[in-house]
Amino acid sequence: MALIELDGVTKVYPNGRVALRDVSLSIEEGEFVFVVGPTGTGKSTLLRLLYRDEAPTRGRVHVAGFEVHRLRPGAVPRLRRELGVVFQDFKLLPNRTVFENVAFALWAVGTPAEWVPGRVRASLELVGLADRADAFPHELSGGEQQRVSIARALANGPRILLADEPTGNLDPDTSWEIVKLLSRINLRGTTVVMTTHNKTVVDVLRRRVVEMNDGRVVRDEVRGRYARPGALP
Amino acid sequence: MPGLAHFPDRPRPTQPRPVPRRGRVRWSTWGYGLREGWLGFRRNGLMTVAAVSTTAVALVALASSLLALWNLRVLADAVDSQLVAVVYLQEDVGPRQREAVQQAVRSLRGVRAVQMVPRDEALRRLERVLGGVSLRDALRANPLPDTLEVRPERPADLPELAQALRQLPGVADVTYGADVADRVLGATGLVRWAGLGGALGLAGVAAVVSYNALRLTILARRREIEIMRLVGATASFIRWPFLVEGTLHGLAGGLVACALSLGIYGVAVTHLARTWPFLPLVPWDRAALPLLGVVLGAGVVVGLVGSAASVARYVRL
Repeated sequence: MALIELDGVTKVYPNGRVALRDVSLSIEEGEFVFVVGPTGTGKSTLLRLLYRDEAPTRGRVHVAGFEVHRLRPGAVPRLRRELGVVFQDFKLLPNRTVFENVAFALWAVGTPAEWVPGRVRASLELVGLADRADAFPHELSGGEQQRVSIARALANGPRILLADEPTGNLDPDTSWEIVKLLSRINLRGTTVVMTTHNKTVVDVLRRRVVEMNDGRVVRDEVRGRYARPGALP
Repeated sequence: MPGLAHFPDRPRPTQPRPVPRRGRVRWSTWGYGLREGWLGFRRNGLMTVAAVSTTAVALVALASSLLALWNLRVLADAVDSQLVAVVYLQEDVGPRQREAVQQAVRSLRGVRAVQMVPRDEALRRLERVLGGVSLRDALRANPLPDTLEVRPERPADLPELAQALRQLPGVADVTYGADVADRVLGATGLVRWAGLGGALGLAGVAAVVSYNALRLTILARRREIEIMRLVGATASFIRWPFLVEGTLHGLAGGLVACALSLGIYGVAVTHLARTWPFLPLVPWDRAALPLLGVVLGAGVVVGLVGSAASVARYVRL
């Protein structure tokens, strides 16, 4: 069993919109996967099924040994502790410092208080923000804010990092910084799944590319580009 | 351990991590819940005031109904213990038959004591009640019959006992304090239904206000809630502060209600005791503690119900 495995997954939202149609996908531990495709083709839904924000309508979802498609509500927190999630809008707490934002994640899962400062510092060092621990989010640039949210996602030492358009709000240079950081995190062994519209990043990095269209996986290449060879730009 | 080199203290990822079980909240969690609950309580200003004051109004209604019921109960007991059946003997009953009737009454079931009141004694009593007038002069003959005062074992059995007494030979009529007893019991029923019904309705309103206050807190803290969900905080961890806030609404409302109702009751008892010293009342110091317990308990229930409904509705897990 791969670290992440989807088998014939269909997701229909209560309003009748079909977000995923019979998707099967397998991701091994340590992989770096780009999920690309036009807006509204089910990329975000795919990630939301993985951290059990949504349940699949049909099909099976396995993540880190959890049978996500039939997970008891009480077991959902355990699944989510194996995952870190990063979003386009960072989702930082505006009235708390960088340190507190990262510490919040640790302390929300009941980490013993004496472990918290060390873990927060390790996380912030990993993203290169150890010296900004006392700053508030509004005092940071967009790229720095995203690095804080990555530090928070990593604080619990998850096996998988899910990033939903993490560079969507950032300029090209900053986007590169973030992607290089994610790449470095991947090299340390964390599996990374990232949805993106950033063609340059995908084409330069040449990692596994899963392309989605209208709720289906239409392409899955090991060292892919953003677009299909020969497709119109 | 891939990906974990920088977290030497972290347990191996393949081992199940300790998740606080449902219902077993860690100490730090308790502290967090109490702190956040208290913060929400203070931060919500007007909504907190609204929730606390509606809860207080509902609980004042509850407290006054309970006090009224308790006092009526005491009153009813006092009236009950004084209830007797009065047996009027027929005019033509002679002394020997009088003795026989008395014997027959004594042998009835449920009779505790029988006292003979001869017609002369009855007239003297009447004179006393009327303030010392001499009826003997005004009336040519004593119009009152001989009577027996029958004290029952249990006041509740009076109607049955009266029925049995009527069957005896030589008995003209039987009366008992039916109307008094019925009136006290009727008032008890009215207070029970109107007072407690009203208190229940108001408690519902208070729960709805608490529900709405909590909705605001949940809205204000939706970012924290979302992040807690994402990093894998347990449901009880996320919900606990909101339940604390709801409980605080109930406790604060209960304290206000207790202060109001016990304050008023204290004044009322003092006044009534001075005006009608014979009125049996529940003394203030005997009423205070049970009332405090019941009202605070009811407040906590109201706050908890409102906040739990809000959490169930607005906190997604």
